[in-house]
Amino acid sequence: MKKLFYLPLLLLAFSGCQPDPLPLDIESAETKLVIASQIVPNEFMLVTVTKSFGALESRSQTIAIDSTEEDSVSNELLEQIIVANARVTVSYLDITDTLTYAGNGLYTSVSTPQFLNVDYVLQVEDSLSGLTASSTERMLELVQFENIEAIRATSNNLEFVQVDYGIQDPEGPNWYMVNFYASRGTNDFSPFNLNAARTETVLLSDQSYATNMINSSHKLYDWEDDTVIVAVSNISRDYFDYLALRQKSGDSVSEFLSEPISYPSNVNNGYGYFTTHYPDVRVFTVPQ
Amino acid sequence: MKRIPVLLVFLLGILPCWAQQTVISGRILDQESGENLVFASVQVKEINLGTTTNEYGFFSLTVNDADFAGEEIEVLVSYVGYATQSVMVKKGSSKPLKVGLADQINKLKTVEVKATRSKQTEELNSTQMSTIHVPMEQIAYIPSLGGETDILKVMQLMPGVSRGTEGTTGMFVRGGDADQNLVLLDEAPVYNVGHLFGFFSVFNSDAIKDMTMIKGGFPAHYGGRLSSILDIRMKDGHHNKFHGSGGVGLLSSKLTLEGPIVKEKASFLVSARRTYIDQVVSAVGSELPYYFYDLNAKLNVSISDKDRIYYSGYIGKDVLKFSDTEQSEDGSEGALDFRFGFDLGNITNTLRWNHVYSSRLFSNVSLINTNFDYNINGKFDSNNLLIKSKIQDYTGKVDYQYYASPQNTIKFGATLTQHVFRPNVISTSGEISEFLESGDGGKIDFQETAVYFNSDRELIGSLLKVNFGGRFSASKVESKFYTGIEPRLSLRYSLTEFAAVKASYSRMKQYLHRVSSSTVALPTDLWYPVTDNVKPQSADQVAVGFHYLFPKLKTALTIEGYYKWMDNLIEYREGANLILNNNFEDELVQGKGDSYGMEFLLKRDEGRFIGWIGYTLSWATRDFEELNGGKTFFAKYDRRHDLSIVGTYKISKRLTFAATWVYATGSRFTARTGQYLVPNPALTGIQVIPIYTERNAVAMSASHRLDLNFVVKSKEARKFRSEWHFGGYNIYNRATPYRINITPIENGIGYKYEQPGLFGFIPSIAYNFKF
Repeated sequence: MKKLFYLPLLLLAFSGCQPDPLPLDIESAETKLVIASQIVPNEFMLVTVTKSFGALESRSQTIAIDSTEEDSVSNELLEQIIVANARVTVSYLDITDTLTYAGNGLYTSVSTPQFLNVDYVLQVEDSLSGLTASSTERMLELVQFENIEAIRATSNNLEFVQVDYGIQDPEGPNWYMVNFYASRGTNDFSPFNLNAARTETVLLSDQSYATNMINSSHKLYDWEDDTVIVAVSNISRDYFDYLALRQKSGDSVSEFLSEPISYPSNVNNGYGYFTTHYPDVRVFTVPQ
Repeated sequence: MKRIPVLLVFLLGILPCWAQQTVISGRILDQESGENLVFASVQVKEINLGTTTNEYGFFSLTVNDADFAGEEIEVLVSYVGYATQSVMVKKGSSKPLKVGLADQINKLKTVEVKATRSKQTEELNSTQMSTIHVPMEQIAYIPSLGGETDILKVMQLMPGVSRGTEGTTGMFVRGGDADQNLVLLDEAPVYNVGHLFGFFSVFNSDAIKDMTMIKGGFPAHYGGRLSSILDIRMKDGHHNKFHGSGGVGLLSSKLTLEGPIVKEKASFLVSARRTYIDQVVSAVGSELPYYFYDLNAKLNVSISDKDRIYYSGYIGKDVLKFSDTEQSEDGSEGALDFRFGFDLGNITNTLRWNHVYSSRLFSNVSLINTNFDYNINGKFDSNNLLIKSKIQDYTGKVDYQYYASPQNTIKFGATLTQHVFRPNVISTSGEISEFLESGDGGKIDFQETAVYFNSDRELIGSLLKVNFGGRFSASKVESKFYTGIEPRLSLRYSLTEFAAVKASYSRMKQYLHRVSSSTVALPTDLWYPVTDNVKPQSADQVAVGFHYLFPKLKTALTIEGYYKWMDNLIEYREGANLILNNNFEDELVQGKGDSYGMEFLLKRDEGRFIGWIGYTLSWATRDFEELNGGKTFFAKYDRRHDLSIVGTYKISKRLTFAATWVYATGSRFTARTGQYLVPNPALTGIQVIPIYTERNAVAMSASHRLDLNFVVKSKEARKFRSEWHFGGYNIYNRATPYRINITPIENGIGYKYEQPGLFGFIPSIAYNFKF
C-alpha cells in the first residue's frame, strides 16, 4: 500500500518528459592539409599528407589499422582525405629532395641524410585541391641511452616491469620523448611496425635534472610480454609542448571536465606536426 | 578598549551642538513576532525628512527643534505589508522608541493610512544603486524547480544576474565569474551554496527574513569579492508566542519552530530541511543513496534597551553512500566489495552584539566562524581511498554607524579574518596506492583584513546626495603581502519627487578564488588564497542609472548602464586537470576582462498584482595571453539578452496564481567543427584529433521557459493555516541547451549537432502549513 502511495508521487515528480534537443548549425572548419613525419636514420624520411574533414563526417576517436571495427573511420572517408597527388619536397642546405608517393598518403624520400642543427623545410602542394602547406624544423642531434635495464618487480600486490635508464644530456635545454613498446612476437620488429600491441610514452625535460646525466625510471604495469623495446628521441621544445597537450587530452574524464584543447602546429596553413627527430632504439628481454 | 567608543561618542556627540535638536531613535519591529524590520521607513512628513532602519531595525533621525510646530511632532513608520503606524514625539525627548507594526493581514490594530514614503521612495532617495531586494513573502509564491523555493534562483530572475547551467544556483553577475559573489548568512560567508552539484541552494527560505543583492556601487563595508554581495539575514524568532511552520514537497520536507524563551526578551528559531528522495525511491524497491539536509538555528537576547546579543548557526550537508557486494562464482559472499561515498557541507556560526551608545551611535561586533569541508571515501576489495579537504575561517569585525545629522550618516569599521586551508589530504592503501600516493596537501594559513569609512551626505538642499568613502584591504599568505585601496563613491541627484539620476564608482579586490574544473561544478572544487604567483583579482566598475516611481501604480522603473573592467582574472590552461591536483598553480593563468551593459527593471511590490519585468543587454569578454592565441574571447556566460517576466496575482483571499517566463541568449561554447588524423607519438596507431572554434566563439540557441504555480490557501483560522502549491516547471517542455552533442542522424547517414536540455516538464505539489 505504501508503495502504491509513493509510486504516483514518484511518477509525478519525475514524469518530466525529456524535451527534444534543439538543432544547431555550425560552420565546418576550413579544410587544410595535415602533415606527420618520421625519419628512419640513414634510410628514408616518411611524410604523410592527408586532409582535415568536418566534425559531422565521423565520430570515431581512433582508427584501427585493420579498419574492421564499427567505430573506426570509414574506408570511404579515408579515401576522401588521403592526398595522393601532392608535390612534397624537403629542402636542407642547398639541396631539395622530392618525395615519392608510396600509397595511402605516404611520401618517402630515397635517402635524406641527417645534418645536425640544420633547418629542414617541407613544402607540400596538392594539385587536386589547390591546398598548400609548409613547415620548417631543425634537425637535432641524436641522443642515445647511456645505460638501460629492465626487471620484473612487485609492489602492493601489483606486478610490473621497471625500466631504469640513463640519457647523456647535451649542453643547453633539451627535451625528450621515450617510447616503450611491447612486441607481438615478430622477430623482425621495428618501432614503426604498426601492429605493435601497446605503447607508453614518457616526456622528459632536462630542466628537471641538475646534472647532464638524466637518470629516470618507468613502471610498465600488466606487461605480460617478455620483450621490451625502448626508444628515445631528442625533440624540439614546441614538439614537446604539443605532445604534452596530446597526453593531457588522452582520457574521457578530462575531455568531459576540461576546456577543449586547440593543438598547436608548426605547419603553416595546415595541421599536424613536421618533425625531424629520430630515435635510439634498444630491444631486450625481461625474464618472467 | 572601552574608552575608544566612549571617546568617539564624546567627539561625535559634540559636533552638532550649536543647533537645538531632537534626536529621534529606536527600533522598528513586527508587533506580533518582535522581528526587527530592516529598511523600514521612518518619516517626519511635515518637514519631508526621513530615514530607514538599518540591518538590525535601528534608526536615528535628527530634527531641528525649530521645525516643531508645537511641542510634538508626528513620526510615521511604514513597511511593505504592514499597517503604517503614527507616533507622536515630544520636543527634546531622548527616549528611544520601540515601534511595533501590525501585519496588514492580521489587522490587529488598524490605523488611518497616511500618505507615507514607501520603501520604493526610500530606495529612490538613497544613493545606493544596483541593488536587488525581493521580499521573502513574494519568493514563496514564485514557481520553482520541483516545487523547492530557492532564493538564489529568484536572484537569477533579476537583471544583471546571468544563470549558469539550467537548474543550478550558479550566478554570473555583470560579466563576472561564479566565485566572485560573496554570499553571507548573518554575516558568515558561505563557500558552497548549492546542494546536489548546485541544483538546490543551501538556504531554507523558511528561516530567512531578508535578502539583498548588490551588483555595483558597493558600500565600503562590503569587500572581498568582485561582482556581487548577497546579504542574507535569518529570522530572529518570534518574541511573543510559540509558532511553527513547515512544508511537505515531492523532494524535501521542512519544519521551523520559533518562540520566546523569555517573552519580549529572548527568542529562538530552529529550522530544518531534508530531502527524502532516497526514502521515496527505497519505498518502491530501488536505491538512491543520496540525501541532503540543512539545519538553521538562531537565538537572540535583549539584554537591555541598548544591548542585544544574537547567535546564528547553520549546518548543511550532502551525503552519498553507495555500496555493492556480489557473490563469487562459488557462492561465497563478499567476493566483490565496493563502497563509495562523499559528504560535503558548510557549518557557520555567528555571534553578534549590538550596542547603542547614544541616540546617534550604533555599533555591531561580530565573531564569525565558517567551515566548509568535503570527504570522499572509497573501498574496492583491498583498496581504500580517503580524501579530505577543509576551509576554516575565524573572523572578528566591528561596525559603527553614526547619525551625525539627517543629512549625514557616517559608517566605519574593521574586519580581520584568519583563513586556514587544508586541501587534498589523501590516504590510500592497497594496489591503488601505487597510483595515488598518500599525502598531506599542506596547511595554508592566510590572513585577510580591511578597514573602511564612508559618509552619506546631502548637498544642495536635498537635491544631491553623495556617499563617499573607501576601504583599505590587505592579505598575507606565507611571506607574501598584498594590499589594496578600494575607493567607493555613489551619488543621487533628484530630478523631481519621483525621478532621480544616480551614478557610482567602486573598486573591489578579491584575495580568494575557487579552483574548479571549468565546465562542471564538482564537490572537489576548492577555494585557495593568492600566492606569490597568483595575484589578487580586482575590478573597477562605473554605473549610471535613471530611477522613476509611479506612485499610484506602486511601481518603480530602473534603467542602469554599467562598465566593469577586471584584472588578474583566473582561468586554466587548456587540458588542465584540477581534480586532486595540489600543483594547480601551474595550471592557472591570469588575464583581464571587460563587461558592460544596460539593465531595465520595472517592479511592483504592493497590491493584488506584484512582480517585475527585468531585461539585460550585456557583453562580457576576456583577454589572456596564454589562451585563445592571445586573442580576445567571450566569457562563457556572455548572454546578450536576458529577459524575465515574473508575476503573482491574488485572485482571491484563498487563491493566488504565479507565473514566470524567462528568455535568454544561449551561453557560449567552444565547438568542435572539424578533425584530422595523425599517428600517435609512438607510431603504433592513428588518432583522430578534433578541431575547435576560437574559445567560446559559438552561442548555443536561445532558451525560453514558462513556469506556473497555483496556491490554494485554507480558510483563515487563528491557529492553523495551510496552503497547497500546485506547480509546473517548463510548462511547454522546451529544451534549455546546456551542451552541444554530435549525434548520428536517425534513419540517415552522418551526424548532426544537437543541444539537449536537462529538464523537461516537471510537475510539483507541496503542502505548507503554519501554526
